[in-house]
Amino acid sequence: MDFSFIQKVAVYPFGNLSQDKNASLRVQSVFLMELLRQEGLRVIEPGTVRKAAQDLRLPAAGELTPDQLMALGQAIGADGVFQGTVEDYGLERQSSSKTFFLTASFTFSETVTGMTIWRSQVNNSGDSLFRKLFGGGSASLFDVTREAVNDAQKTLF
Amino acid sequence: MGVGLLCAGPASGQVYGSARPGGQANVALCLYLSASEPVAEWPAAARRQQAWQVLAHHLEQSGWRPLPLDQVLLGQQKHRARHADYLPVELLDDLRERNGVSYLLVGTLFLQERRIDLAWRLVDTASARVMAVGIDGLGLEPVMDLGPEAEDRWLQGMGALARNWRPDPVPTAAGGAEPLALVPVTTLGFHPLVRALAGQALAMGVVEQPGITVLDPGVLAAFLKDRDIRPEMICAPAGRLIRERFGARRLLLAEMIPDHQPTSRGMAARSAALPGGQGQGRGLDFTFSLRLVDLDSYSVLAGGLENHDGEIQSGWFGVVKDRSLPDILIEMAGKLLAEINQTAKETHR
Repeated sequence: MDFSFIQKVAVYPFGNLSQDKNASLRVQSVFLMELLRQEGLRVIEPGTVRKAAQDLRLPAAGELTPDQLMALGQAIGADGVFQGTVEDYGLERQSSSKTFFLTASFTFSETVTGMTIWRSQVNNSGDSLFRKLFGGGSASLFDVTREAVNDAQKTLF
Repeated sequence: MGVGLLCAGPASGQVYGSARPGGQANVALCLYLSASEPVAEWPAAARRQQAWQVLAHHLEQSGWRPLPLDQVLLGQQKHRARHADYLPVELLDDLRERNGVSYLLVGTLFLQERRIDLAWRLVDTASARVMAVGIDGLGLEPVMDLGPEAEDRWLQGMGALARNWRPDPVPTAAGGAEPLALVPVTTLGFHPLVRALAGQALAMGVVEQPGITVLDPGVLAAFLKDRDIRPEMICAPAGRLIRERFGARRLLLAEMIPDHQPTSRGMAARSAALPGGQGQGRGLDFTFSLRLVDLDSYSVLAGGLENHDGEIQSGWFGVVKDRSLPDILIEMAGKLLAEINQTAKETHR
């Protein structure tokens, strides 16, 4: 995707549909750090985004409407906004083994039009064929999260 | 390790609060106490006074001139400085102008059943910059109850802690032209000890880097709180205030998020992990992240993320790796600062 016209982006607080109350914060933190590795993008400090959302009376987390996206973009000077929802996150037990997993979706919207121009859904678990064959426990929740976020961002950059 | 993005301005060589090196200096020792169960049952005021006297005596022997406790308490009460993360700049001004104090030594003593930890910062009262920072701790022998035996053990522990305590200014702490503003670590659902230790570990990592001066996080936190600005919502206008008042152009924000797992190791494991004298890092899963923010553009210049898995880890021959929480946090903070410097990219100023 050609991002040459987008220079300044924001990450809006992620929504959370999972049982874990910290899941969205954790996934968002990983998402932001991976985003910082991308060349040529300026990421607005999340505190600025939260403050603007509060001032504009936007929902604390989750999906925004096109009008809300445009208002937010104008308030913080962002060309685009990343949003995300953690759909499922945690630990799955099967007999004696345990596996961490994450299902999440991410979007990117332009703030000039409020249109969504990228969407990705990822599902990742700490289980793998290698682990099944040669033993070893699940990858950690952190590794599962980072891999999922990387998979999603690879489809964008 | 290079200083990279952390250092905004050139080193000026200007030395603040230079009274101490080579001579005596007036210091105000401001001590706070945080105790976990069952130690909390001990009378806090008496405990604090005892600890203050032990530490002040050690300071005197090391060549400092500590301000008497009643005058320190007067200043604390007047400016409502109730904990180490709330130090109004007016308190520093008062100490310097009225009492001739060059340094404020602010410490929090964490009493646990089998451990004492002292997290401390030496702050220059003229510039509000951190001149030295550290965590000193030791394990205590277990006793059966909290009677006289525990009293003796505690006082002996304090004496041992004080003997190894070296709160001297770090020469490099006065080197940078513009201070780096360090916001107290934002944590979710952690014991206050973890939060304080994380902030302390981070400050230690930054102060040790050459050419960087750090604005005291307690002074910055008081400045923000007095203006009703929450650390997790520091926006462009708040950044402008910080820049104008303290001359800082970069801000370092840190977050600690627990890996909450509702089915197995959750809150119970986390809080239970703290009181033990050993293995405080066990059962404590969390992510520690840093963001370096440019206060001109208010964009994130660089970031780092580290994860700690609290599972018990075995090394060679099944030897269990058992490290204290301060050690874990200091290592993580060091890695994060290195990551920030490594992933330094073009700034947009």
